[in-house]
Amino acid sequence: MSEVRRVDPRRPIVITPQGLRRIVLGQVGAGDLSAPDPHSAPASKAKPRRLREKAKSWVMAVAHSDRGRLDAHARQTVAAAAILAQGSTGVVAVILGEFEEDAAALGADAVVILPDLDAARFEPEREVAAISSLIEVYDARHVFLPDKPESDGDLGRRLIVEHDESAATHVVEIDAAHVCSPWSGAMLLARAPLPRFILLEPGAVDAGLPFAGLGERAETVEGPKMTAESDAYRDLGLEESDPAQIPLEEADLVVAGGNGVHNVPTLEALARTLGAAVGASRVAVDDGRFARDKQIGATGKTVSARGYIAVGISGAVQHLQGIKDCQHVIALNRDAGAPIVGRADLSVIGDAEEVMQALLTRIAQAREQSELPEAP
Amino acid sequence: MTGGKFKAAVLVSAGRHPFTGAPRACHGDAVAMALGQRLVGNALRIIHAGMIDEPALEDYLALGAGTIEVVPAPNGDDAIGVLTGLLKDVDLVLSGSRAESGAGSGLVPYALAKALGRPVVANVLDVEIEGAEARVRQFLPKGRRRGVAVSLPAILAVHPLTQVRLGYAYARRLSGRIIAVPPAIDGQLGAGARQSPWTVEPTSRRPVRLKAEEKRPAHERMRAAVVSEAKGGVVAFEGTSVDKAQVVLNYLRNHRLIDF
Repeated sequence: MSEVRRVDPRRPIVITPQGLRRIVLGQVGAGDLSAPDPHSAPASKAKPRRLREKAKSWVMAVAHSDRGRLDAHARQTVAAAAILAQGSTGVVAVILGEFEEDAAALGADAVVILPDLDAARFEPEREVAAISSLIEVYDARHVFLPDKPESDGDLGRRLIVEHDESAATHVVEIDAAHVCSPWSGAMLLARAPLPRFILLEPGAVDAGLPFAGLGERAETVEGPKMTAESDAYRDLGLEESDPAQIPLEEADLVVAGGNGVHNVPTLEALARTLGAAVGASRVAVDDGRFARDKQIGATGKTVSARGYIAVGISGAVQHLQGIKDCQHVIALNRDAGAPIVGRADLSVIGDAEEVMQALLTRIAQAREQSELPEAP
Repeated sequence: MTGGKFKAAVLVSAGRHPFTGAPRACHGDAVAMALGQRLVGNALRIIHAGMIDEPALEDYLALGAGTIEVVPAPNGDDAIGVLTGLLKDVDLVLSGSRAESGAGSGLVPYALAKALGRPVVANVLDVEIEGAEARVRQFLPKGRRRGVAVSLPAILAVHPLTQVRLGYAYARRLSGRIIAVPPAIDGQLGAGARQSPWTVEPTSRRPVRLKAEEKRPAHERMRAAVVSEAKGGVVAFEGTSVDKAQVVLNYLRNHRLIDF
């Protein structure tokens, strides 16, 4: 008998979502379609901790939270601190505002929450004082902030001039020894040794970590009190604009209609009830159901809303291109095989008009029950 | 206020086109200049710290600068020291949010505020003067705006989305003047200037993304490459439309997309 190794035609296989048959490598034995998917197993396995013992020194990541969560940019910042912290260096995440997430999964070994310094109020002097004292307490060697011009970038620049130390802003490339920032526009990069304060651009870091932090929660810290006289700034409050008026690109929640929407007033009513902006797919716009400036997709606008509700939209690639930055996509669709179902975080299969009507009724009930007065 | 007439100044930098590098007016600074002129008209001082023969300055003349004062600052690091001496008696200093040439770190208004001991507000869309304070409308994302009252004298960094009319006129470019002003010598001028840590790379390239090193066995990496991950989230087929509406509402609530 020859020593030729033979391939067992009944090796374990999995069927991919695309319906392709794939051999499972590294396993022998009979294939069984009912066997649990081997790819779901590693995901459930807990990630190893990066630190074995107590941290001896610290690096700090500072970010404002948005309704109890960190956005992608802030996550990248904490991840950068975790990746660059070597040996027994710990990562302390300082969150300004409420925080309800698992800090360990973000890579933070300690988390300090300052709930009364959230982004809603403009209190730069208190923020700088609070962060400066924390930098001193932890003796942070490096301080990372997301370079968001509206909140953390402003705070970061105030910290930089306050401490008058080496700093880099608009950092697009970082490693353990150096940082790179764009120079004179986006064409050239300038390189500098790793400074103490680092303001990161979005996308400079991959937020996926193979390890977890310790995630120890320090006591909730209250920001320092400021006397009224010392305060050169006075917050006059936020003005919210009507979601229907603001540009689609800026909207936080978008309800978009496609070819499956026949009753546009229902969709508009739903958007009004949810406080969302109205968008549309190309087909619906070409059909004259929506104005041209509502079009989302390759030939229309690119939206970066946190929530995107696609009603009766099949999700052609050109449309998906326009919603690539949306965090939560909900699809209401009649066709379970539509490409939007592959993109959506939640797909509801059914008649769009019926579901929209039911949702309107349900929201009205919910408003009444909780008796919240702030109906827009 | 520093007594007498209300004084305002805008800082303009040498703009560069982001792709061709051609000299031009920095858009953010031009917007700040237009905002300042809306506020105080021709009384606005327009100040540039740098070289007097900077070609970008003529663009500002064409945009209606009138007279530009140039204070020599041979390398960028001295700019703060030079400007501090010049701006001591100015009540309101405006600037763009970041320069187009060099690092464009956006630190100048903050550093200037520190040096002069004044408050600084960034992302300014509009400003009104009311007695001893400036009422500022600040840009926030997601269509929100914020009102901030800041005590004068103050420094404001103007947001590029500020609604102003920028009109380019060649006649103004010819009639405008660029004058040199001697630097108000401060004792420690140049002492605070630090050696720039930046070295510019000669060729353009894409930045490398920082990624955590992952030690996975070859078999796992192969498997990750061969088998595409299952995409898509929860799919709700079952139930009446009321149940489905509830599913949607729960999702919106769980992810705090709505606040009721």
